[in-house]
Amino acid sequence: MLAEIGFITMLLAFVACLYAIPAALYGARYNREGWVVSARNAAIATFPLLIISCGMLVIALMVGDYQINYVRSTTDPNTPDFYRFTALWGSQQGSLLFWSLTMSVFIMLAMLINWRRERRLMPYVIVYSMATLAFFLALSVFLENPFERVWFPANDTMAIQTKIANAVDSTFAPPNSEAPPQSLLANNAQGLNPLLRHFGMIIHPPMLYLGFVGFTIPFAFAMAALASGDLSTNWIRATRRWTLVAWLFLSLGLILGGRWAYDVLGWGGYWGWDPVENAALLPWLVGTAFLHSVMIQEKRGMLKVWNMLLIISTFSLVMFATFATRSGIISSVHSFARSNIGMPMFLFWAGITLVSVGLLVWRWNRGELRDEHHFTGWVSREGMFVLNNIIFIALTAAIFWGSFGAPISSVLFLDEEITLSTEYYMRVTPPLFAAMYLLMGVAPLTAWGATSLNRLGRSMIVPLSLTGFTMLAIMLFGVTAPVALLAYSVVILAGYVALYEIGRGVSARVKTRGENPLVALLTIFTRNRRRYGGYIVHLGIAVIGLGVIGSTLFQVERQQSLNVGDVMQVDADYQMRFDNMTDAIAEDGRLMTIADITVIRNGREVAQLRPRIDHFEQMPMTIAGAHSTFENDFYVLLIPSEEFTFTRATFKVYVNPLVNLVWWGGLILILGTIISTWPGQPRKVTSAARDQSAMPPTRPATANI
Amino acid sequence: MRHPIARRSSKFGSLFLMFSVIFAIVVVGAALLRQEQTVRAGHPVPDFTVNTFDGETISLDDLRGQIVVLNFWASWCAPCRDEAPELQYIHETYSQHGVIMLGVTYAESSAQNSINFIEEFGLTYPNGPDTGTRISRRYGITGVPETFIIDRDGNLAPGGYFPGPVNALDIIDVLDVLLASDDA
Repeated sequence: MLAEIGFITMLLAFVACLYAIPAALYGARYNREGWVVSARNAAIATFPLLIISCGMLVIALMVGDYQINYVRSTTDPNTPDFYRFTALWGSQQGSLLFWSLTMSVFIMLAMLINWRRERRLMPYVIVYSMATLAFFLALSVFLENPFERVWFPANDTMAIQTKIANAVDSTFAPPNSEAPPQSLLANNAQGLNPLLRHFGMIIHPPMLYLGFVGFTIPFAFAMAALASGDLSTNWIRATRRWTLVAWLFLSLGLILGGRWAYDVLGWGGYWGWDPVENAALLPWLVGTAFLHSVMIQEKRGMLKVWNMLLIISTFSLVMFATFATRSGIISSVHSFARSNIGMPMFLFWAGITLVSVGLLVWRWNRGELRDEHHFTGWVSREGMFVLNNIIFIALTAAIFWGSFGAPISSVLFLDEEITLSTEYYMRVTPPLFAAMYLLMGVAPLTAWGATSLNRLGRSMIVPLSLTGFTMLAIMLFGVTAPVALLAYSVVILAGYVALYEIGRGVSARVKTRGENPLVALLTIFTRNRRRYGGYIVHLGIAVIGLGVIGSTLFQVERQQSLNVGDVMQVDADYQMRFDNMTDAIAEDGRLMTIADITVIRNGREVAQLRPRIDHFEQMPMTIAGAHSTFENDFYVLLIPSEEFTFTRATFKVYVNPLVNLVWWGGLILILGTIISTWPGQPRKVTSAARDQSAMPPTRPATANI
Repeated sequence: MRHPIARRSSKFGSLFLMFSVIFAIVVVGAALLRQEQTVRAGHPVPDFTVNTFDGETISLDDLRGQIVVLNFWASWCAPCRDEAPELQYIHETYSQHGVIMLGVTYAESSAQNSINFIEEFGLTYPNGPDTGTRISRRYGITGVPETFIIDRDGNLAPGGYFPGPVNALDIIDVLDVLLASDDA
């Protein structure tokens, strides 16, 4: 029953999409309000339908309905309930259905929130968002059905082997068939991939999906603007918050993915420049560029074509990332799954990209996307945003080339797969990231229109001096490598400028209104969430930068075999003693080999760690033990090796300085994004206001953005 | 009325934009098509040369006239471990009938890993690395293990493609048909 209800509701959601598209188009074209409203209702209806569909799959997973192939391939009778639930996105079919569900949530919310204000855009928003949802549901209905069940021929005289050989897959019971015995099904259940049994992995995919799927809404609004001809800033006003929400989830997904890699993959790092990781980073980079450059259009009515192009590229990259990681076109350890959705995904990606770029080019050539102001000079807020965009696009291009461009074109033109290694990224991206940080340190101090270099220089005195003092302190601590000093200085400057801007906002209120500084701080954050939330995001990015520099440039790595009782000198401060080794069996039946070690810092015992190896169907998995302090992580791995006995083992130890700042910075970034996104801020950006704000050639640097 | 220069720049820009999009789509599409082209039964399989871990150079073309069981594997792949003794059994039993067992390793981080695997399972048939994944790409493999049985004329044998773990009995079924047709 579960499979039937799940499949039928999924099919109904698909039919609702197919109905909504022509209904919305017809209603918009011939001004038939009834049809548009009907299309909207169909769009909203996809959510309850998909909730039921996903609910059925979750129930099937929880109760262990192993006749459903998906349940059998992602859980087994030993799987704990928590992982039963999360198996919903543990493999291809379930994750596609879950993807559709998250998209229907976004679509429903957009319909409810934006319906009144953006009436002219909404029919086309329905068309684009429903087309995307219809495509993903078609994959689930026709190719990757999570409700497919296995059936045996109903013939009592047939031997079980013959039945197994003649088994068929179908959602509904075929004629003359019976369900296989439950015990046989349960014995053949496979359980969730052991690498995925980690808290970070449990919430990392949904966050990433929410980020990916979330960009559908701003994209649909942009396309609606192009299709309807309402090319004012309406679509930007309607989508700014949606873009931030998508960006927030994508950031969370990336950070959690890094944390998972750090905890589970056992190589002492959090970012491996794998094509699949990069695929998720690319839309983040272009989305970030969009979030900045869209402000130029709001304030100055410039870069209209460019902004459209950025949001189209963001969505196109989301689709490309999904296609590339699920089609097997790129060899990556992450994406090793045989899949027949490669071609349909390619066609959808190609189709939606061509149609949207085509629509953009059409409006552009009709002269409907003309800029309202001219560019006044590089030393201005808009100039800085343009530079910011150039850097983000350069980063995107470099990472795209390394992950997809080089491997794909080398296979095609040279008949040899050239895969670019971490070295390529470590050579190409640091200068671009440094330029990004430098810009973060300058741009917030410039004004719209133009700033004189003199004024800019004056406002930089405080942050620059603070940076200078901090750099002196860092040098006194013994950091002298020029690369490290340069890297730290740009990142620290960016952080100080963010704090300085907040400080200036507070002190202006304290001076003019005589407010208590704490009240002033609260007020500026309530009055201008977007701007000050943005500075908190900058601060978070700066803190992440400090963590990345520390853990990349100053990581210590040691590998050594030890006998029980031996002490290993790791660096000047740290020692490690190997105390004991034991075997244990986990809740889900895997055998674990656990080492007990003691971390000694400057002669004092500071922690007991238990790095271990999990043996899961002959696939060994090394689980690190880590001792975190503010300044570094002591990270130890038990290495499977031939001389492995209960009295002797090989350990690999990393000391990762400042790595915790990556996670703390991530939290700050999330906090800042939530502040920026939080509703309630009065919206005043109308065309008239924009013109007014643009009138004085030099506005003070504290002008609202 | 728009300034003629502005109009020209939008024309040039849009042409460039459309061209780039179409170019990207064509390149990705061609790569996808190429990847989806798998080897078909009854049709010639791609030729290749592999330098084995024993220092031999083996070219598939030179093996024409013999039946070849080509197996793609990796030391990090769990099903390959189940399969290795079965393949060694095929080698021991069928080499006297002119069947050549040949292993090609896929995406290994070091040759030493493959050599350790070969020693662990006592594999005596030739094995070599697929440097730059040239061979596996030509055969369109999407994972390891995958196995191909190639007849004496260099065509893929009917039923001779196994996109996943294989056991000796599956291989023997195909080999027996090929050997029987020799006798006939």
